[in-house]
Amino acid sequence: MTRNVNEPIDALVVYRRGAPHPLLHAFRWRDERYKVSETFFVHRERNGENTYLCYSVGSGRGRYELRLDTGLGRWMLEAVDAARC
Amino acid sequence: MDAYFASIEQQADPKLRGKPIGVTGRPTEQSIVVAFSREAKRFDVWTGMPVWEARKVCRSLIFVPGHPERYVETTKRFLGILKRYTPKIEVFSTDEVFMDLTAEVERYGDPITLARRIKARFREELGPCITSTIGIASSKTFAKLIAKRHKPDGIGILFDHEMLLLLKTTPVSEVCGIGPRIEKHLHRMGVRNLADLGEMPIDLLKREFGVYGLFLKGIGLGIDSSPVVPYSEVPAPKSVGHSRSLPPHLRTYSLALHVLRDLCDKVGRRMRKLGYVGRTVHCGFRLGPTGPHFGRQTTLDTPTDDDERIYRACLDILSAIPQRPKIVNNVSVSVTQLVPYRESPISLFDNDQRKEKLNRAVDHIRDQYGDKSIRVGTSLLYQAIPRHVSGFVLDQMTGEDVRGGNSGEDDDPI
Repeated sequence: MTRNVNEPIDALVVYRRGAPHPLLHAFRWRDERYKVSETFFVHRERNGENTYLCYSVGSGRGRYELRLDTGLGRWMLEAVDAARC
Repeated sequence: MDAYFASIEQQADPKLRGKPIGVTGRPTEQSIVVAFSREAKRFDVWTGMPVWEARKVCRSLIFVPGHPERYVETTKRFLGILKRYTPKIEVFSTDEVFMDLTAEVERYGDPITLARRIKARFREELGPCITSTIGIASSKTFAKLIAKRHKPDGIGILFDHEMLLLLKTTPVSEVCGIGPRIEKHLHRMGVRNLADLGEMPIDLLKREFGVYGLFLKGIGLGIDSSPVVPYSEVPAPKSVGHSRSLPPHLRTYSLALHVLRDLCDKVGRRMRKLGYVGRTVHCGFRLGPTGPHFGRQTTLDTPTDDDERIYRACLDILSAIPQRPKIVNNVSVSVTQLVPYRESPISLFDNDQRKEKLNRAVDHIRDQYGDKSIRVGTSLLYQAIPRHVSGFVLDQMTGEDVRGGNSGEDDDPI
């Protein structure tokens, strides 16, 4: 079951040359560190002049939906799916 | 691409993998399923099936709301991959393209090797769930036919020496462009398969189907000479239009007029974006769910891309309805007789020039802050289309991004 969170988070990313988007390695949410084991999907969304990169990633047994505001460089954890499989 | 929208959802959410899923617009019984996953296709389902019916056919079906942004992104990405191989790519729909690889194939050895390479790139860059089927033939129609036969995740090739057998064994309905009505017509003429079609006298086919008879004759002989039209050379549009099937709470005449105003706004904006102005305005109302369709057109003195003028022309048309209808189920508006804006005369009247400047300013604001940032006041009088409705994003894409894609059940571009 997907649960909406919408909380700001810290993210550890790598900007690899030639990659279509920053590669998300880990993030910190509520003082806990989550290592990204797999990136399932990344897509771009626009809302007016703001552009976001939306990530669907796996960490442990959970699936997480994150959003990067590309203008502000701010990361948000949008939703959590505790049991992804 | 195979089960496109559904496979993208499965790629984004591993929980959905290996399960029968249906991608819908709104999670209501009145909604329709726009795509089924491979697992769901084992049941007796079809694209466009109402949710209630799909639920009955497949009890374990998981309904997933569509994410048009994801589909748009994936289309851009797979087109980006294909552009590495050739610029001769014709975008047929959101998930289908034709490529002319005649000149490139030699570099890769043979067509199958090249097809395998493209599929490997897809797998690597799009993800393992988003699969494709590649049909290889000497023409578009037969490439599509072969691809259909090798779905999902396959590669099919039609060699020239196999054509005769294919024509003899392929029912006419299998060909893209021969729908149920043409199929019935052909059956009445005694045509069952493509070889029968090839034996039909060309004059007879022309008499029965007009110029389309020439295409049918060609297909019957295994010939389709239509070239791959690269996306950069897409022919000029002949019309720009929008239609909307109204939800129950908007089916009164006065609310339908507000919707019409909004559609005119969209038509005007699209015309300005494309750089065209048009003279003939067509407006249509479907009166009642199975009721008559009222549709007329009017030709303006000078071409326009101004939504206000288009709306006024529609009101003139609607004034011809003898009695104000109680129920309106569908609203449509389109503008034809298009000419490029730069070839149209500039109005010398101040008011027209001011209106034109205003439209450009509004477009500029929308480009920067989104389509809903500035809008006609009447559009606030009825509930706006929620963001999750499938087609919301596709509807806002320019023709350059995706051509020929279906924008979903509401606000269909015509």
